[in-house]
Amino acid sequence: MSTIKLETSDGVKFTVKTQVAKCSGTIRTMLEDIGINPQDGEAIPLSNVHSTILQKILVWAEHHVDDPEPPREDADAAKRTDDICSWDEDFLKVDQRTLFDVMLAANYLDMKQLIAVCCKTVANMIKGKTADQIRRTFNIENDFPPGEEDKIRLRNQFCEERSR
Amino acid sequence: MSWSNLPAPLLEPILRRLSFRDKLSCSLVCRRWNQTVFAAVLSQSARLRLVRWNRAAASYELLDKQVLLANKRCYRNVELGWGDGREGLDGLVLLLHMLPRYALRSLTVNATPDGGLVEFFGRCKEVLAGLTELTVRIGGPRRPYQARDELVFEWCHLVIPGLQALWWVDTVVGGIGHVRPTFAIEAPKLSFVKIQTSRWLSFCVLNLNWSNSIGRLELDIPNKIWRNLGVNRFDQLEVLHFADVSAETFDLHLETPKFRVELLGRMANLRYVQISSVKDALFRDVCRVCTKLYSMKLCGFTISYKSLPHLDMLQRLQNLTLTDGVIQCQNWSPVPLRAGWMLSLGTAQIKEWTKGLANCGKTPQDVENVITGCFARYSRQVPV
Repeated sequence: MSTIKLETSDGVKFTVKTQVAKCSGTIRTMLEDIGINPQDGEAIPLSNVHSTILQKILVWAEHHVDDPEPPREDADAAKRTDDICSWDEDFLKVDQRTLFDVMLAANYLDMKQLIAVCCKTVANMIKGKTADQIRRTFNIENDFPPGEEDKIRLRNQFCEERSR
Repeated sequence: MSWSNLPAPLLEPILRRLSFRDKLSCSLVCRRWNQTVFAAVLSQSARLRLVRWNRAAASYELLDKQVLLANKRCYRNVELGWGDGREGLDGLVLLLHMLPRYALRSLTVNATPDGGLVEFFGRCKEVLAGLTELTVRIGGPRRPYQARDELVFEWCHLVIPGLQALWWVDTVVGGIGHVRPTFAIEAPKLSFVKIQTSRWLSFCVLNLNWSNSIGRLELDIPNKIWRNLGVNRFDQLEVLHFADVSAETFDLHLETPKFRVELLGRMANLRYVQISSVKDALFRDVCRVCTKLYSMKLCGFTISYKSLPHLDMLQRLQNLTLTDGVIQCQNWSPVPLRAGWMLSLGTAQIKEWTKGLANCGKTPQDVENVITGCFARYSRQVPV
């Protein structure tokens, strides 16, 4: 079983099975297209990912490494948020800070399945909440200048959902 | 980095999974989210209304121009309107020219009858040229035409190369005014046209003679306006939807059978037709000329039983639907289809019906029995 080394932003080196590392589109591209040779013993630098997050993502990748390629999602399936498997649900029961970092890292590493699961989780957290509740859930600062919020409310009144 | 800086490629898939209401809430969270939500969802999937009908002033009033200018992004669907006043029109023309033109695809214009629609079109030609959908609604009361008024004929020629759908709704009350505009729209790709009006009478308002690929024509206009409609190429026409709401008492088609046959003859590819106030002559002509029909719907008909065998000429007819009408039997006793019921026949049933009529005894009673039998067996209540 071949392995490769990954180096995170804080200098920690991970030795990972190649198959697991290839869950990441970014690493796959590096290995296959750019032709970085993993046998050299040189670690692939992942300058945007912290070791604690990479650890977590590798756990996810290890669990999902044998998943079949998902079917191309049609428009309806892409809108569902209730089809998260229970393992993923437990995996993503983390504070919103970690969830955010996992999402960013997954985006950087180009892991479509993980991004989809994270987005579903976030969507579930947003559903049914008011703007104020969303801000509190995700610790977002209200940075609208005074009066701007009313303006947006007014604008939103003119927006209607398109039936098509 | 925090959630407010979530990159758009991550925020967009989240938004896709939310209801429209939740999306609106998201836009109120912070500035970044507002920008993303608006660019990704609201500007495209939502329609921006710029008008409100002011009941007291009986005109459309322009709403917060600042809102539009503050968010000068990719609007795909814009609905706008103005009152009789010129200020509104000037502002709108200015606004429209300031929007990013490449994005605008669909435009809905609400105009009042004396409110300068021709002028608006004339001043926004460049903007309109990029449209694929155009909806024009003209409504409201009109100053009545008085004998001393001088007639003003206005002419407006628009070139919209990519226009595919046109919906023209004219609900003006109060007859025809002294201003008589003609809108000539040169749109070679036009394929869907829907026209609703009840009041163009003696002149052509909408001229679509450049469009030779109209595939679907839905008309909600009185019979006698049909002749004034500026559409004369029907080579590609497959669907003709003709809803006559005005219950014309006389049949104009009877007056000009030659015109009718000629017109139908040009619609060689017609597949689906819905017509109303159908009398014998029109029915026979349709059967004789439009041989490619596969669906025919008659809303309001008075036809003789002798015309029914003409249906045999429509080899491909798969569906015949009748509502509201009577079939005249031999002794001229009309057999009505029960009000609120529709008769829907498939290929086999049409054959059975025409064959039944051909083979039955020739007494009036036999003919009537065949017709009432068919009505009883195949008609059903129109679902409300």
